[in-house]
Amino acid sequence: MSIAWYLAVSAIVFCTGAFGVMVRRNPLVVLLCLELMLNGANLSLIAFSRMWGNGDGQVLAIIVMTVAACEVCIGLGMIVAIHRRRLPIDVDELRELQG
Amino acid sequence: MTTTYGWLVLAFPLLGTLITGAGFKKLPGRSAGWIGTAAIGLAFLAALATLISLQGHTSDHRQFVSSLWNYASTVGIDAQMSILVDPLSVFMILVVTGISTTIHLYSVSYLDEDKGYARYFAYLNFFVFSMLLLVLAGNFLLLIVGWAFVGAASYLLISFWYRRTTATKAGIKAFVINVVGDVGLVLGTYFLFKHTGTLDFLKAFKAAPNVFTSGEGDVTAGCLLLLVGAFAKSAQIPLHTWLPDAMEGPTPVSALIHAATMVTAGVYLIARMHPFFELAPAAQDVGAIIGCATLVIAATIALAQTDIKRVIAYSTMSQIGYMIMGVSVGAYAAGMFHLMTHAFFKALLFMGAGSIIGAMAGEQSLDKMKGFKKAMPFTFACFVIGGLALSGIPPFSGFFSKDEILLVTGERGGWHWALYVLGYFGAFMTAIYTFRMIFRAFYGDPVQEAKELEGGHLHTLLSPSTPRPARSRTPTSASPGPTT
Amino acid sequence: MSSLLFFIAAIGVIAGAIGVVTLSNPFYSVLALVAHLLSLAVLFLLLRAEFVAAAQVVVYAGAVMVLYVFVVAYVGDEEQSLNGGLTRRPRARSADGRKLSGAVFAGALLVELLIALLGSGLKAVEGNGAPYAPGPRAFGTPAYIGNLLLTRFLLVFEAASLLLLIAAVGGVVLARRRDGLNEEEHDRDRLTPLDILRPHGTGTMVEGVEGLALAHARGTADPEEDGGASRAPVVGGTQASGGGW
Repeated sequence: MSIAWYLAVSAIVFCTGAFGVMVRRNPLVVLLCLELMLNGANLSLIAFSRMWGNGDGQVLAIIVMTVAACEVCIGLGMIVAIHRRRLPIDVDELRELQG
Repeated sequence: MTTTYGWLVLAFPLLGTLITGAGFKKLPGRSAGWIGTAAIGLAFLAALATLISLQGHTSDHRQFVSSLWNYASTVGIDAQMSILVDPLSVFMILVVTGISTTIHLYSVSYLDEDKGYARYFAYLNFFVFSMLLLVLAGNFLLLIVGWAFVGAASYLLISFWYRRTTATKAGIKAFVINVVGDVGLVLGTYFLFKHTGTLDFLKAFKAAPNVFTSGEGDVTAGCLLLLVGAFAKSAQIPLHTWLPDAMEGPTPVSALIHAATMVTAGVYLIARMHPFFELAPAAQDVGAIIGCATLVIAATIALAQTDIKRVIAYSTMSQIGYMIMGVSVGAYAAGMFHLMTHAFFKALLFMGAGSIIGAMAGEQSLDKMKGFKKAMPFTFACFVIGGLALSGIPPFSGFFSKDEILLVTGERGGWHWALYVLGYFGAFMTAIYTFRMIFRAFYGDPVQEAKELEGGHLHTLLSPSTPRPARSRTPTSASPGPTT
Repeated sequence: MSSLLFFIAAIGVIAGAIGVVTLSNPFYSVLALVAHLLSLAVLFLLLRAEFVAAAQVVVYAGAVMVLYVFVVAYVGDEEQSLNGGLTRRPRARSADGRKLSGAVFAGALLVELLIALLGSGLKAVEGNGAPYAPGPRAFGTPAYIGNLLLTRFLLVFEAASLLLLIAAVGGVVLARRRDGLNEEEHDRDRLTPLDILRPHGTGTMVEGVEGLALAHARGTADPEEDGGASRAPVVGGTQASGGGW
């Protein structure tokens, strides 16, 4: 399969994730859709790495996975903290974080 | 050796941030303030050393690049962590570190007793580091990194008193508009990179006349997108709405970020990218027109403001319109000169405003300030000097820089005469709103707070018979603000 | 054969993605994402990225998603369908306009990306990729990636490890139990990075669980310097002590 197919799949996944981030109200699902976008970018990085024949894209994909793990850790920690304070788990309601 | 000083200029504020940030609860009293001020003071000395070491070189040999690490050299992209030390960047680092040292010194006592004291100095040092990174960047990558960091620092400092809803909203507004500018900057970089093939400044500038023809589509698109970035950062029409709300931050923050340094990043960008702008006359024209429109519109708005900090904020917007107009028509030296003079007199005006706001116990409205001339003569003198400079009265500094910009604009000929006339009209309005502010605050019958101060600090507070005026308080250093 | 596998995996990827976005129960969304990640690992294998595929399954699907499952079990019990409001609370404002504009935006983005990627001017993305030489350090093997990470991408590698450390510390700090806005006690008990440099007490388990105040009361910790202000040790002290931000 030529690389273009993989890039098309990557674009579809990325845009699905973008749509999900904009539309869903539960912050957990918003974070999941953010992961989708990161995965789309990862696929495109791996595809280009295969095209050029050097491993830079793969290394960057691993770093992207690392960053995604960190971001998930912090995001979920925040959601747990919000839940403990009995605030609504709804991104439309949580517009200002104070204190 | 020159670039070693350049790296030192970057290293000192970074160390200041780390030290004040790590020890934020342990540093006693005002030591966080002194550490922050010392860090920027040392950076200023390093900047002076850079200037001195540049002397004696001929004008062709004054550009030094130093790379610390080869971040990624792959598939045709050369991303290094490199700084460029040349007269333009030395000019900017001197202005930034010089003004920052004085403002840090001012903040040491302005924010005394605030619970977020160390946090403030950590953020302020981080801001200075980011601004220095922006102006010392030797390639597009570090420029974008510095640009983004400066926006983040601005957000952190505007919403410094984070329990105030107005402050957090203003911080979010500033950050969102700045991100719009970031998008423009990155896309503009892409358009320029597509043809020059390099991210490094010196190589790109050398390649520019060879790969672009004047007025070509891609270079015009790239420069227009860079202008979007410049307008968002420098609060020009139509991306200007964040600047008046940014006055929610502490006054020294307004003095540093929103008068002297961050908002001038757009002017620096246009001046730095001048080889590309010279190849895109359409983008230059757009810059000149928007700069002129902003200076007139902001001056008219400032005429009607009652909050003293907002008057000065709109004045900043207007003066940066002058600078953008100046560098867009090709008056690079005049525009940068106005940047420097404006930094000084605008910071002076803001710090004087902070003094009056402190005297009024947090009240910022001009309607409630009257007759402070006798009570605060030093502040009055500062305001008058700053006001004369801002209005462009010779022999004060503002005259020379503003006059030069208008002269070069007029000499460009063609339809630029309209900008020249509007520039003069704007200068006229500048004088009006500046002295309106000064007359309202300092002349007339002294208000209660002024009378108290005339007799020495708070002398009538000690007599129980004097009724205290009830006012709504905005948080200052004395009032119980939010916790750290 | 590889085309067939590509299509199966691609359908799995896209179905999983759509599942994440449309399923109303957040737990089902997590499971859809796990399916998506596994299919994506197959696609990585097809692109000769063996180590990245293994990392994807082990790290992403195996660790990050398990973290998600725990948090969704703890928190996410509010169902929201893409069409209507929440089942537990009346809908605060209309989501239809947002859904439509979201779809339009995502659609426009997709069209633009596809034009950019597949448009006729891009000869560079046609083809099956560069040839590679098989061997112990061939393209895609762990040895190859490791070599790159430790030579050319060393700074990136170190920065990513630092980021992981910061995220781990940040996650612990964020999810601590706190008592609200009781500020005076919090100022005393606040942790700072410099606490690492100052040993308090002897670092016993008692201190770790109950904080220095109680440990002090039992006589196992050093007396503090200034009138009994106690500081919680760097690790532990989160469950029982009331110290907070």
